[in-house]
Amino acid sequence: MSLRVAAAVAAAGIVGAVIRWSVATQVDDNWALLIVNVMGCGIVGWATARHERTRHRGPVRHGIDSTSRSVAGPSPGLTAGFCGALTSMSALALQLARYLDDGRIATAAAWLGLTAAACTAAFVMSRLAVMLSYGRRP
Amino acid sequence: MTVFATAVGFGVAAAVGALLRWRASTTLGPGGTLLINIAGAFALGLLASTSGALATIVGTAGLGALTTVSGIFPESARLMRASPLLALGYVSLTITGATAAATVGLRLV
Repeated sequence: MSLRVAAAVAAAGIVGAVIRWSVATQVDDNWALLIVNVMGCGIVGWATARHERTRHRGPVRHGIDSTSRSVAGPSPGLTAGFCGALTSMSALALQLARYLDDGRIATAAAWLGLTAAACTAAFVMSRLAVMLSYGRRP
Repeated sequence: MTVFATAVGFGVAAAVGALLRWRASTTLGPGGTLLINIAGAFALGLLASTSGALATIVGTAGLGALTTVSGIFPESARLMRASPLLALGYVSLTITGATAAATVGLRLV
């Protein structure tokens, strides 16, 4: 583990967590979680696509083997640190668990569906934006 | 607890959470992130009834930074190149596993 990379992940993780907390203080908890999760997925999509285009001149072809287990991305600080800490699976799971515990299955399903759709859209669209912007370059 | 102590605790917990997850994902791959997400959801379920500085430091900062939604996407995209079913299983297991773990944590306290 490089100390510099670890420091970047830790510092960016603090920034991500502070932003998530700040958004939660301004907006209703459920919406705040959706906003930060979508933001994080969009940034990760942008970062990974940009990394693939600039470093590999094409999609990264990782296999499922011992040499490709690390998270692909231009910067672990940005992807694992900032985006990882900005988004939160535990908060989403707790949100869903509370609805299910109260018997509000439809509400839980709606939040899960909305989160999954919005996060997937953010990830895919930011990747597409990078692909298109690089495709237009000579 | 003073505001300063809470802020310092928040920063330390967020940094430790992010570092643990990064370390788990680089050493164990998608399985590491899966385990971290499930364990973090369980712990947050246990903490759900607490409030104040402890909830902010451990729950919001530590467990929030420990678990991730954005990290699932690049990992499942990589798994999809091997098998779409594997990627679908990974995402499904993450969501159902984390939600079940949070439910168990909620009911234990």
